[in-house]
Amino acid sequence: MDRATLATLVKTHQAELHRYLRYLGADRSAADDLVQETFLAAFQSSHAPLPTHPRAGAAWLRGIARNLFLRHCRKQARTRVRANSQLVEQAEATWNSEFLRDGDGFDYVEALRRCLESLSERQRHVLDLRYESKTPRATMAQRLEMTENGVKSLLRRIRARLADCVRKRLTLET
Amino acid sequence: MNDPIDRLIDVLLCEELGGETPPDLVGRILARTRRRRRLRWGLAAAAAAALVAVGLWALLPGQYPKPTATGAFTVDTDSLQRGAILRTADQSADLGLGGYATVHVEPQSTVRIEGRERAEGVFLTRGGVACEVDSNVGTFAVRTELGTVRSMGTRFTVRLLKEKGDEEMMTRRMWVQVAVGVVVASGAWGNVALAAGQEARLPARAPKIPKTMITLSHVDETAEGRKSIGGSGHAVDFQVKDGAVWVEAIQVFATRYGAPQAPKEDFHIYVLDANKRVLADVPFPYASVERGELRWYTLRTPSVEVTPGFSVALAFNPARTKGVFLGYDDSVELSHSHTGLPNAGFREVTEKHDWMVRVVTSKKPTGKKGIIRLADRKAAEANLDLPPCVVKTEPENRATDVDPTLAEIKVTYDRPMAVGRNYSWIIHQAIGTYPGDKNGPEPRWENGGKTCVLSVKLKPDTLYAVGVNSFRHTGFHDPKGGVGVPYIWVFKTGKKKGGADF
Repeated sequence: MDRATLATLVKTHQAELHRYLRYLGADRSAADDLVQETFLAAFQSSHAPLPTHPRAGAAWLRGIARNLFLRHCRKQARTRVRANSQLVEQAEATWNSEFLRDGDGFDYVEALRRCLESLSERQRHVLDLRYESKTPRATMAQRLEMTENGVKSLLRRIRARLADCVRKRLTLET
Repeated sequence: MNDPIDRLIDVLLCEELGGETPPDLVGRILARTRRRRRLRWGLAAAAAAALVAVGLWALLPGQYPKPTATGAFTVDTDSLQRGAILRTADQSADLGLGGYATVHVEPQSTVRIEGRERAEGVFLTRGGVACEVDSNVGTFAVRTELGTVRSMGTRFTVRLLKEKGDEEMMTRRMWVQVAVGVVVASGAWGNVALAAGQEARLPARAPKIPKTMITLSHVDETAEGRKSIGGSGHAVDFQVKDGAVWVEAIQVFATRYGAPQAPKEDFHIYVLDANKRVLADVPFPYASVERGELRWYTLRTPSVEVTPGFSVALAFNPARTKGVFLGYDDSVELSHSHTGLPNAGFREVTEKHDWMVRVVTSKKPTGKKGIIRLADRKAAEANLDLPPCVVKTEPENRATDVDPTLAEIKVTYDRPMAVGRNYSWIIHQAIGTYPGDKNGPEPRWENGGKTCVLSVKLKPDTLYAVGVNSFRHTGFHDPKGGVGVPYIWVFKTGKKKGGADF
């Protein structure tokens, strides 16, 4: 693989790989590093799929990223992320069946955007506090007059509702 | 990471609401490849001396492996060497070349040993060969009079075929099947890349046009230029000759551009009446047109009955990375050509040239790919005030004992619909199981855009329910935007039949 091909490969797949590593549990800085390591490993490999098969290329890169992520977790003994190969394989299966759905995940993100519009005002406010303002959970609990565990459960319920809404939207229109 | 779905939504919300966009790492990664290269430079320099020594040893005369052969064969020279012709009779033979390529010569085959060191090859003049090439050692090619199949680190088979019924140039074709890796087959007909599991007969055979058919054309055999029109299409007017009112095929002088692998989408040929209303919308896979030099392609259509004056329009939907160049002939006295598409209108071309499109017509419909009659069109037009309706399903509604091995189900509308990804197959879990195969190919259109085909995976003794369109999902619609009336049908598969498993 030459450097021009690598540059094209990076431009095409870096966003999806970053998202994938964040999904596996890597924090932002670890995801940045692991994306770089993934492409450097790909650069040195002689088994790169043809650029004409972007899906095969994406799956191949995800495989490299997965292995690097597992190695990263083993090195970081005190990491908050507990990952083993079985859990990561399950996560990969969910990524393929739920998110990609034989595509590039665009439909899933679009459906999520539409589902966000269907949330109640309070639910949207909670999400904005957590994701947009990045308010700490303790502060959120104070403002919402709830316990911290209550906030945690509420956020999980809203995410579950969004996941359910996305699934319905995508499975109804095959 | 206890719940992957929760984690997925969490990450997407961080991006959507928190603006956590992934950073652009191109510069950083490329810089690190440079650093790694510098680090490796020292090691490489140390290893270089050893490599040079090994290389010199390998290049010494007599060290490169000579061709070897086992099995039942004859050669026309005293020894097996480059240029020798190897023939097999009723048994096969194995030919070893360069120590990295093994050629299994099938019975009744003839090959000539060609190539050079680390670029081995054979010329196949009869029969077939199955090749196995070690990776990272050298290249390998099988040449035939029809083209060349090149590979590096693959397993593939090339076989010469004789096919009856074609013209002289087309009597011989080449069959290529790839077991492992990728090969590139090339010839005067263009280039085709084949990956593991794929096979192809090359060159693609042009359908034979019977002499009784009449070819309508405004152009000669040479193109003065070629054009691809982004956001629009090409159209040419024709007049029916000698009462041959059935369009059977369209010929285009064209070439595809873009990636070697044709995009997995269709281009469309529209047959239009004198008022440029669509009589038929026929999709063709993009792979129907190959890359390389401009040449004539014959594209068989359903038998379409046309008015005395009619037009043919082509919509290739080109983009920067894929499209089709259509040749044009500027030696015509009068232009019959337009730019545009059925839904967007047409404009006469400003230059005096004609798109290189020919139409093959006949007096009687052959019906090999279906028949589209003017009467059908008129009947459909009479119902234009009504929205598109389902007129047929396969299997039929309420069918029982449906074969569980059935791989496709079909829905047919009363008029040509907007093809492409314009469909909404609906799940009705409360009524029955949804039959769609999630891992199957995407739904496709046939019968001039009237019939949509869905891949299914069925189980024995199961009730299935499937719908097209719903209150919220209106993917099925005609080219004018008329939404198809929602329709649900049910069917039940038969019980599993007993029998030996072979």
